[in-house]
Amino acid sequence: MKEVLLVVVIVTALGFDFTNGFHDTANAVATSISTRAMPPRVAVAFSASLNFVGAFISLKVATTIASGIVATQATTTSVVFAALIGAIAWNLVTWRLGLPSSSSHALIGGLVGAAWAAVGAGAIQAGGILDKVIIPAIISPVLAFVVAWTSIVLAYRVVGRRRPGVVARGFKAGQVLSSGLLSLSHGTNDGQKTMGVITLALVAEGAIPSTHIYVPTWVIVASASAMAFGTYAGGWRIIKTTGTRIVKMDPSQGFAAQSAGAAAILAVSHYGFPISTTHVINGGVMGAGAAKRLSAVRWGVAANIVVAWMLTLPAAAAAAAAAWGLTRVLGGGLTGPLMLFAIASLLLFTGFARRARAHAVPVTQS
Amino acid sequence: MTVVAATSLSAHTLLNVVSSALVAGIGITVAFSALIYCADRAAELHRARRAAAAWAMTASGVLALAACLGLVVYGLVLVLAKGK
Repeated sequence: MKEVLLVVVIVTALGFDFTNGFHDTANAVATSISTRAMPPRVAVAFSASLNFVGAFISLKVATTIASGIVATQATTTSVVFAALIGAIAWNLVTWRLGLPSSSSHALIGGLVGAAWAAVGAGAIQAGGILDKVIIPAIISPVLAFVVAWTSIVLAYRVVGRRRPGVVARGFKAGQVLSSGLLSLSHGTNDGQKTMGVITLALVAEGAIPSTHIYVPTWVIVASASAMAFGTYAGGWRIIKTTGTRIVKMDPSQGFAAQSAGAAAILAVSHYGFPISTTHVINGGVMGAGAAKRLSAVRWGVAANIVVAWMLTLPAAAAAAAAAWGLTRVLGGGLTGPLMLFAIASLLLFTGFARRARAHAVPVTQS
Repeated sequence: MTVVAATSLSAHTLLNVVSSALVAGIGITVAFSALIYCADRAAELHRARRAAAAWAMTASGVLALAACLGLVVYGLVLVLAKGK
Protein backbone atom coordinates (compact mmCIF):
# COMPACT_ATOMS: atom_id res chain seq x y z
CA MET A 1 0.00 0.00 0.00
CA LYS A 2 2.97 2.28 0.60
CA GLU A 3 3.68 2.11 -3.14
CA VAL A 4 0.22 3.58 -3.85
CA LEU A 5 1.05 6.65 -1.73
CA LEU A 6 4.42 6.96 -3.47
CA VAL A 7 2.68 6.94 -6.87
CA VAL A 8 0.20 9.59 -5.62
CA VAL A 9 3.12 11.77 -4.46
CA ILE A 10 4.94 11.38 -7.77
CA VAL A 11 1.80 12.27 -9.75
CA THR A 12 1.23 15.29 -7.45
CA ALA A 13 4.87 16.34 -7.88
CA LEU A 14 4.50 16.19 -11.65
CA GLY A 15 1.26 18.18 -11.27
CA PHE A 16 3.24 20.81 -9.36
CA ASP A 17 5.84 20.79 -12.15
CA PHE A 18 3.07 21.39 -14.67
CA THR A 19 1.80 24.40 -12.65
CA ASN A 20 5.41 25.59 -12.35
CA GLY A 21 5.80 25.56 -16.13
CA PHE A 22 2.35 27.09 -16.55
CA HIS A 23 2.98 29.76 -13.91
CA ASP A 24 6.55 30.58 -14.91
CA THR A 25 6.11 30.63 -18.70
CA ALA A 26 5.94 34.37 -18.28
CA ASN A 27 9.52 34.47 -17.05
CA ALA A 28 10.92 33.41 -20.37
CA VAL A 29 8.49 34.67 -22.96
CA ALA A 30 6.75 37.78 -21.60
CA THR A 31 9.28 40.33 -22.84
CA SER A 32 9.62 38.62 -26.26
CA ILE A 33 5.84 38.74 -26.70
CA SER A 34 5.42 42.30 -25.44
CA THR A 35 8.12 43.65 -27.80
CA ARG A 36 6.65 41.52 -30.63
CA ALA A 37 9.95 39.73 -31.13
CA MET A 38 8.01 36.44 -31.42
CA PRO A 39 4.32 35.50 -31.86
CA PRO A 40 2.84 34.13 -28.59
CA ARG A 41 2.36 30.52 -29.74
CA VAL A 42 5.87 30.33 -31.23
CA ALA A 43 7.41 31.92 -28.11
CA VAL A 44 5.64 29.49 -25.78
CA ALA A 45 6.50 26.40 -27.91
CA PHE A 46 10.12 27.54 -28.20
CA SER A 47 10.30 28.09 -24.43
CA ALA A 48 8.71 24.68 -23.70
CA SER A 49 11.30 22.89 -25.86
CA LEU A 50 14.24 24.63 -24.20
CA ASN A 51 12.75 24.14 -20.72
CA PHE A 52 12.75 20.41 -21.49
CA VAL A 53 16.38 20.46 -22.63
CA GLY A 54 17.43 22.68 -19.69
CA ALA A 55 16.16 20.19 -17.13
CA PHE A 56 18.84 17.71 -18.26
CA ILE A 57 21.77 20.10 -17.90
CA SER A 58 22.38 20.14 -14.15
CA LEU A 59 21.32 18.28 -10.99
CA LYS A 60 22.88 20.46 -8.32
CA VAL A 61 19.65 22.26 -7.43
CA ALA A 62 17.76 18.95 -7.21
CA THR A 63 20.19 17.66 -4.63
CA THR A 64 19.99 20.95 -2.70
CA ILE A 65 16.19 20.61 -2.49
CA ALA A 66 16.55 16.96 -1.48
CA SER A 67 18.85 17.81 1.42
CA GLY A 68 19.44 20.72 3.75
CA ILE A 69 15.97 22.34 3.93
CA VAL A 70 14.21 19.97 6.35
CA ALA A 71 15.60 16.98 8.24
CA THR A 72 15.61 13.83 6.08
CA GLN A 73 13.87 11.82 8.85
CA ALA A 74 10.96 14.30 8.82
CA THR A 75 10.31 13.99 5.11
CA THR A 76 7.86 11.13 5.00
CA THR A 77 5.84 10.55 1.85
CA SER A 78 2.79 12.17 3.51
CA VAL A 79 4.84 15.28 4.38
CA VAL A 80 6.06 15.60 0.79
CA PHE A 81 2.47 15.17 -0.43
CA ALA A 82 1.17 17.92 1.89
CA ALA A 83 4.08 20.17 0.82
CA LEU A 84 3.13 19.74 -2.83
CA ILE A 85 -0.54 20.46 -2.18
CA GLY A 86 0.42 23.67 -0.32
CA ALA A 87 2.76 24.77 -3.12
CA ILE A 88 0.22 24.03 -5.86
CA ALA A 89 -2.48 25.91 -3.92
CA TRP A 90 -0.30 29.04 -3.59
CA ASN A 91 0.78 28.81 -7.25
CA LEU A 92 -2.86 28.74 -8.33
CA VAL A 93 -3.85 31.64 -6.06
CA THR A 94 -1.06 33.87 -7.39
CA TRP A 95 -1.74 32.78 -10.97
CA ARG A 96 -5.42 33.71 -10.50
CA LEU A 97 -4.33 37.15 -9.27
CA GLY A 98 -1.83 37.48 -12.16
CA LEU A 99 1.08 37.83 -9.73
CA PRO A 100 4.47 36.42 -10.81
CA SER A 101 5.39 34.80 -7.48
CA SER A 102 8.03 32.12 -6.99
CA SER A 103 7.09 28.46 -7.54
CA SER A 104 10.41 27.50 -5.94
CA HIS A 105 9.66 29.36 -2.74
CA ALA A 106 6.15 27.91 -2.74
CA LEU A 107 7.67 24.44 -2.85
CA ILE A 108 10.25 25.17 -0.15
CA GLY A 109 7.61 26.90 2.01
CA GLY A 110 5.37 23.86 1.52
CA LEU A 111 8.11 21.49 2.67
CA VAL A 112 8.83 23.62 5.74
CA GLY A 113 5.13 23.98 6.69
CA ALA A 114 4.30 20.29 6.24
CA ALA A 115 7.40 19.11 8.14
CA TRP A 116 6.70 21.61 10.94
CA ALA A 117 3.09 20.42 11.24
CA ALA A 118 4.12 16.76 11.17
CA VAL A 119 7.20 16.70 13.36
CA GLY A 120 7.61 20.15 14.90
CA ALA A 121 10.05 23.05 14.54
CA GLY A 122 13.00 20.74 15.19
CA ALA A 123 12.65 19.32 11.66
CA ILE A 124 13.44 22.68 10.07
CA GLN A 125 17.07 23.36 9.15
CA ALA A 126 17.05 27.12 9.67
CA GLY A 127 20.68 27.58 8.65
CA GLY A 128 20.05 25.79 5.35
CA ILE A 129 16.97 27.89 4.63
CA LEU A 130 18.85 31.13 5.33
CA ASP A 131 21.85 30.15 3.19
CA LYS A 132 20.07 28.39 0.36
CA VAL A 133 16.78 30.27 0.15
CA ILE A 134 16.57 33.62 1.95
CA ILE A 135 19.95 35.14 1.02
CA PRO A 136 19.79 34.06 -2.67
CA ALA A 137 16.16 35.32 -2.75
CA ILE A 138 17.29 38.79 -1.68
CA ILE A 139 20.43 38.90 -3.81
CA SER A 140 19.16 37.45 -7.11
CA PRO A 141 16.50 40.07 -8.05
CA VAL A 142 18.80 42.91 -6.95
CA LEU A 143 21.60 41.40 -9.03
CA ALA A 144 19.32 41.07 -12.08
CA PHE A 145 18.11 44.68 -11.54
CA VAL A 146 21.70 46.01 -11.46
CA VAL A 147 22.82 43.92 -14.45
CA ALA A 148 19.80 44.94 -16.57
CA TRP A 149 20.07 48.62 -15.51
CA THR A 150 23.81 48.81 -16.32
CA SER A 151 23.36 46.84 -19.55
CA ILE A 152 20.66 49.12 -20.89
CA VAL A 153 22.57 52.31 -19.96
CA LEU A 154 25.62 51.00 -21.84
CA ALA A 155 23.52 49.69 -24.75
CA TYR A 156 21.87 53.11 -25.22
CA ARG A 157 25.35 54.68 -25.29
CA VAL A 158 26.48 52.26 -28.02
CA VAL A 159 23.41 52.31 -30.29
CA GLY A 160 21.71 55.51 -29.11
CA ARG A 161 22.53 57.44 -32.30
CA ARG A 162 21.76 54.66 -34.75
CA ARG A 163 18.47 54.45 -36.69
CA PRO A 164 15.71 53.34 -34.26
CA GLY A 165 14.19 50.89 -36.76
CA VAL A 166 17.49 49.07 -37.31
CA VAL A 167 18.20 48.95 -33.56
CA ALA A 168 14.72 47.62 -32.79
CA ARG A 169 14.98 44.93 -35.50
CA GLY A 170 18.43 43.92 -34.25
CA PHE A 171 17.34 43.55 -30.64
CA LYS A 172 14.16 41.71 -31.66
CA ALA A 173 16.36 39.15 -33.42
CA GLY A 174 18.59 39.06 -30.34
CA GLN A 175 15.58 38.35 -28.16
CA VAL A 176 15.22 34.95 -29.83
CA LEU A 177 18.69 34.15 -28.44
CA SER A 178 18.13 35.73 -25.01
CA SER A 179 14.67 34.19 -24.65
CA GLY A 180 16.10 30.78 -25.55
CA LEU A 181 18.89 31.19 -23.02
CA LEU A 182 16.40 32.24 -20.35
CA SER A 183 14.15 29.23 -21.07
CA LEU A 184 17.15 26.92 -20.92
CA SER A 185 18.27 28.41 -17.59
CA HIS A 186 14.68 28.20 -16.27
CA GLY A 187 14.57 24.49 -17.12
CA THR A 188 18.00 24.05 -15.55
CA ASN A 189 16.95 25.64 -12.23
CA ASP A 190 13.22 24.99 -11.92
CA GLY A 191 13.04 21.57 -13.56
CA GLN A 192 15.28 20.28 -10.82
CA LYS A 193 12.97 21.27 -7.99
CA THR A 194 10.43 18.59 -8.81
CA MET A 195 13.25 16.12 -9.33
CA GLY A 196 14.41 16.99 -5.81
CA VAL A 197 10.93 16.46 -4.35
CA ILE A 198 10.40 13.11 -6.09
CA THR A 199 13.86 12.07 -4.93
CA LEU A 200 12.87 13.04 -1.37
CA ALA A 201 9.79 10.80 -1.62
CA LEU A 202 11.88 7.92 -3.01
CA VAL A 203 14.33 8.34 -0.12
CA ALA A 204 11.42 8.42 2.36
CA GLU A 205 10.13 5.11 0.94
CA GLY A 206 13.60 3.55 0.99
CA ALA A 207 13.79 3.26 -2.81
CA ILE A 208 16.97 5.37 -2.67
CA PRO A 209 19.40 5.08 0.27
CA SER A 210 19.59 8.30 2.36
CA THR A 211 23.36 7.84 2.57
CA HIS A 212 23.76 8.00 -1.20
CA ILE A 213 21.10 10.26 -2.67
CA TYR A 214 20.97 10.40 -6.48
CA VAL A 215 18.37 11.45 -9.06
CA PRO A 216 17.17 8.52 -11.25
CA THR A 217 17.01 9.10 -15.01
CA TRP A 218 13.24 8.42 -15.22
CA VAL A 219 12.70 11.19 -12.64
CA ILE A 220 14.64 13.63 -14.86
CA VAL A 221 12.67 12.69 -17.99
CA ALA A 222 9.26 12.82 -16.24
CA SER A 223 10.00 16.18 -14.56
CA ALA A 224 11.35 17.75 -17.74
CA SER A 225 8.28 16.58 -19.69
CA ALA A 226 5.75 17.84 -17.10
CA MET A 227 7.39 21.26 -17.03
CA ALA A 228 7.53 21.46 -20.83
CA PHE A 229 3.81 20.58 -21.11
CA GLY A 230 3.00 23.17 -18.43
CA THR A 231 5.04 25.80 -20.25
CA TYR A 232 3.26 25.02 -23.51
CA ALA A 233 -0.11 25.40 -21.77
CA GLY A 234 0.98 28.96 -20.93
CA GLY A 235 -0.14 31.38 -18.27
CA TRP A 236 -1.42 34.42 -20.12
CA ARG A 237 -2.36 36.41 -16.98
CA ILE A 238 1.21 36.46 -15.66
CA ILE A 239 2.70 36.98 -19.12
CA LYS A 240 0.61 40.18 -19.29
CA THR A 241 1.82 41.39 -15.88
CA THR A 242 5.51 40.73 -16.55
CA GLY A 243 5.41 41.79 -20.20
CA THR A 244 3.37 44.97 -20.08
CA ARG A 245 2.07 45.93 -16.62
CA ILE A 246 5.42 46.55 -14.85
CA VAL A 247 6.93 48.57 -17.69
CA LYS A 248 6.27 49.06 -21.41
CA MET A 249 9.48 47.76 -22.91
CA ASP A 250 11.32 48.36 -26.14
CA PRO A 251 13.26 45.43 -27.71
CA SER A 252 16.61 46.54 -26.26
CA GLN A 253 15.11 46.57 -22.75
CA GLY A 254 13.56 43.15 -23.36
CA PHE A 255 16.91 41.81 -24.52
CA ALA A 256 18.75 43.31 -21.50
CA ALA A 257 16.15 41.99 -19.02
CA GLN A 258 16.29 38.48 -20.49
CA SER A 259 20.09 38.41 -20.72
CA ALA A 260 20.42 39.69 -17.14
CA GLY A 261 17.95 37.05 -15.98
CA ALA A 262 19.64 34.21 -17.85
CA ALA A 263 23.11 35.25 -16.64
CA ALA A 264 21.97 35.45 -13.01
CA ILE A 265 20.09 32.13 -13.14
CA LEU A 266 22.94 30.25 -14.84
CA ALA A 267 25.51 31.73 -12.41
CA VAL A 268 23.42 30.82 -9.37
CA SER A 269 22.43 27.36 -10.70
CA HIS A 270 26.11 26.66 -11.25
CA TYR A 271 26.58 26.88 -7.47
CA GLY A 272 23.43 24.83 -6.77
CA PHE A 273 21.13 27.44 -5.22
CA PRO A 274 17.39 27.01 -5.87
CA ILE A 275 16.66 30.65 -6.73
CA SER A 276 13.41 31.96 -8.07
CA THR A 277 13.52 32.57 -11.81
CA THR A 278 10.44 34.74 -11.30
CA HIS A 279 12.29 37.08 -8.93
CA VAL A 280 15.24 37.27 -11.29
CA ILE A 281 13.37 38.11 -14.49
CA ASN A 282 11.09 40.60 -12.76
CA GLY A 283 14.17 42.23 -11.17
CA GLY A 284 15.64 42.42 -14.68
CA VAL A 285 12.45 43.91 -16.15
CA MET A 286 12.36 46.59 -13.42
CA GLY A 287 16.07 47.36 -13.90
CA ALA A 288 15.74 47.69 -17.68
CA GLY A 289 12.68 49.93 -17.24
CA ALA A 290 14.24 52.12 -14.53
CA ALA A 291 17.36 52.67 -16.66
CA LYS A 292 15.27 54.55 -19.23
CA ARG A 293 13.56 56.64 -16.56
CA LEU A 294 12.44 55.78 -13.04
CA SER A 295 8.84 56.79 -13.72
CA ALA A 296 8.66 54.27 -16.60
CA VAL A 297 8.27 51.51 -14.00
CA ARG A 298 4.80 51.12 -12.49
CA TRP A 299 6.06 50.93 -8.93
CA GLY A 300 2.59 50.09 -7.58
CA VAL A 301 2.53 46.87 -9.62
CA ALA A 302 6.16 46.19 -8.64
CA ALA A 303 5.26 46.65 -4.96
CA ASN A 304 2.36 44.17 -5.27
CA ILE A 305 4.76 41.64 -6.78
CA VAL A 306 7.30 42.15 -3.98
CA VAL A 307 4.54 41.68 -1.36
CA ALA A 308 3.56 38.41 -3.10
CA TRP A 309 7.22 37.34 -2.97
CA MET A 310 7.41 38.02 0.76
CA LEU A 311 4.14 36.18 1.41
CA THR A 312 5.03 33.11 -0.66
CA LEU A 313 7.14 31.19 1.90
CA PRO A 314 4.80 31.68 4.88
CA ALA A 315 1.59 31.32 2.84
CA ALA A 316 2.71 28.10 1.13
CA ALA A 317 3.93 26.83 4.52
CA ALA A 318 0.53 27.57 6.08
CA ALA A 319 -1.31 25.93 3.16
CA ALA A 320 0.91 22.83 3.41
CA ALA A 321 0.41 22.64 7.19
CA ALA A 322 -3.35 22.86 6.58
CA ALA A 323 -3.08 20.12 3.92
CA TRP A 324 -1.19 17.95 6.42
CA GLY A 325 -3.95 18.58 8.97
CA LEU A 326 -6.61 17.70 6.38
CA THR A 327 -4.95 14.37 5.58
CA ARG A 328 -5.14 13.57 9.34
CA VAL A 329 -8.80 14.63 9.52
CA LEU A 330 -9.67 12.59 6.40
CA GLY A 331 -8.29 9.42 7.94
CA GLY A 332 -4.48 9.59 8.14
CA GLY A 333 -2.28 6.78 6.84
CA LEU A 334 -3.03 6.10 3.19
CA THR A 335 -6.71 7.12 3.25
CA GLY A 336 -6.18 10.81 4.12
CA PRO A 337 -3.69 11.64 1.34
CA LEU A 338 -5.72 9.60 -1.20
CA MET A 339 -8.95 11.42 -0.35
CA LEU A 340 -7.25 14.81 -0.45
CA PHE A 341 -5.61 13.86 -3.76
CA ALA A 342 -9.00 12.93 -5.22
CA ILE A 343 -10.63 16.17 -4.01
CA ALA A 344 -7.72 18.35 -5.20
CA SER A 345 -7.58 16.60 -8.60
CA LEU A 346 -11.28 17.14 -9.14
CA LEU A 347 -11.05 20.83 -8.21
CA LEU A 348 -7.94 21.35 -10.34
CA PHE A 349 -9.33 19.57 -13.37
CA THR A 350 -12.58 21.53 -13.24
CA GLY A 351 -10.80 24.84 -12.69
CA PHE A 352 -8.22 24.32 -15.45
CA ALA A 353 -10.78 23.16 -17.97
CA ARG A 354 -12.91 26.26 -17.29
CA ARG A 355 -9.90 28.62 -17.40
CA ALA A 356 -8.33 27.02 -20.47
CA ARG A 357 -11.50 27.75 -22.42
CA ALA A 358 -11.72 31.34 -21.15
CA HIS A 359 -8.03 32.37 -21.23
CA ALA A 360 -6.33 30.36 -23.97
CA VAL A 361 -3.04 31.85 -25.25
CA PRO A 362 -4.04 33.83 -28.33
CA VAL A 363 -2.78 32.63 -31.68
CA THR A 364 -2.02 36.18 -32.74
CA GLN A 365 -1.09 39.14 -30.62
CA SER A 366 -3.83 41.29 -29.18
CA MET B 1 24.27 11.74 -11.13
CA THR B 2 25.58 11.14 -7.65
CA VAL B 3 25.15 13.89 -5.10
CA VAL B 4 27.79 16.56 -5.21
CA ALA B 5 29.10 18.03 -1.96
CA ALA B 6 26.49 20.04 -0.07
CA THR B 7 26.27 23.66 -1.13
CA SER B 8 26.62 26.43 1.38
CA LEU B 9 26.76 30.14 0.88
CA SER B 10 30.16 31.63 1.65
CA ALA B 11 31.35 35.15 0.87
CA HIS B 12 33.65 33.68 -1.77
CA THR B 13 30.79 31.81 -3.49
CA LEU B 14 28.62 34.89 -3.33
CA LEU B 15 31.34 37.01 -4.90
CA ASN B 16 31.75 34.44 -7.68
CA VAL B 17 28.00 34.37 -8.37
CA VAL B 18 27.74 38.18 -8.47
CA SER B 19 30.85 38.70 -10.60
CA SER B 20 29.92 35.94 -13.11
CA ALA B 21 26.39 37.31 -13.52
CA LEU B 22 27.66 40.89 -13.90
CA VAL B 23 30.30 40.00 -16.50
CA ALA B 24 28.05 37.65 -18.49
CA GLY B 25 24.85 39.73 -18.32
CA ILE B 26 26.39 43.11 -19.08
CA GLY B 27 28.95 41.61 -21.49
CA ILE B 28 26.37 39.97 -23.74
CA THR B 29 24.16 43.08 -24.00
CA VAL B 30 27.12 45.37 -24.73
CA ALA B 31 28.56 42.91 -27.26
CA PHE B 32 25.17 42.58 -28.97
CA SER B 33 24.76 46.37 -29.05
CA ALA B 34 28.20 46.61 -30.64
CA LEU B 35 27.11 44.04 -33.23
CA ILE B 36 24.05 46.14 -34.16
CA TYR B 37 26.15 49.32 -34.26
CA CYS B 38 28.77 47.71 -36.51
CA ALA B 39 26.18 46.19 -38.86
CA ASP B 40 24.34 49.49 -39.30
CA ARG B 41 27.53 51.54 -39.64
CA ALA B 42 29.01 49.03 -42.13
CA ALA B 43 25.88 49.35 -44.29
CA GLU B 44 26.22 53.16 -44.20
CA LEU B 45 29.88 52.99 -45.16
CA HIS B 46 29.11 50.62 -48.05
CA ARG B 47 26.49 53.05 -49.34
CA ALA B 48 29.07 55.86 -49.05
CA ARG B 49 31.49 53.68 -51.12
CA ARG B 50 34.09 53.61 -48.33
CA ALA B 51 34.95 49.95 -48.81
CA ALA B 52 37.97 49.69 -46.48
CA ALA B 53 36.16 51.31 -43.56
CA ALA B 54 33.08 49.20 -44.27
CA TRP B 55 35.11 45.97 -44.19
CA ALA B 56 36.80 47.06 -40.94
CA MET B 57 33.38 47.70 -39.42
CA THR B 58 32.11 44.32 -40.68
CA ALA B 59 35.13 42.61 -39.09
CA SER B 60 34.38 44.40 -35.79
CA GLY B 61 30.79 43.20 -36.06
CA VAL B 62 31.97 39.62 -36.55
CA LEU B 63 34.14 39.98 -33.42
CA ALA B 64 31.14 41.30 -31.45
CA LEU B 65 29.04 38.34 -32.66
CA ALA B 66 31.82 35.94 -31.66
CA ALA B 67 31.92 37.59 -28.20
CA CYS B 68 28.13 37.09 -27.81
CA LEU B 69 28.23 33.46 -28.86
CA GLY B 70 31.39 32.88 -26.82
CA LEU B 71 29.69 34.17 -23.66
CA VAL B 72 26.66 31.94 -24.25
CA VAL B 73 28.80 28.85 -24.92
CA TYR B 74 31.08 29.60 -21.95
CA GLY B 75 28.08 29.88 -19.61
CA LEU B 76 26.62 26.60 -20.85
CA VAL B 77 29.96 24.81 -20.68
CA LEU B 78 30.42 25.95 -17.05
CA VAL B 79 27.01 24.63 -16.05
CA LEU B 80 27.50 21.39 -18.02
CA ALA B 81 30.97 20.80 -16.64
CA LYS B 82 30.21 21.21 -12.96
CA GLY B 83 26.47 20.92 -12.78
CA LYS B 84 26.21 17.14 -12.67
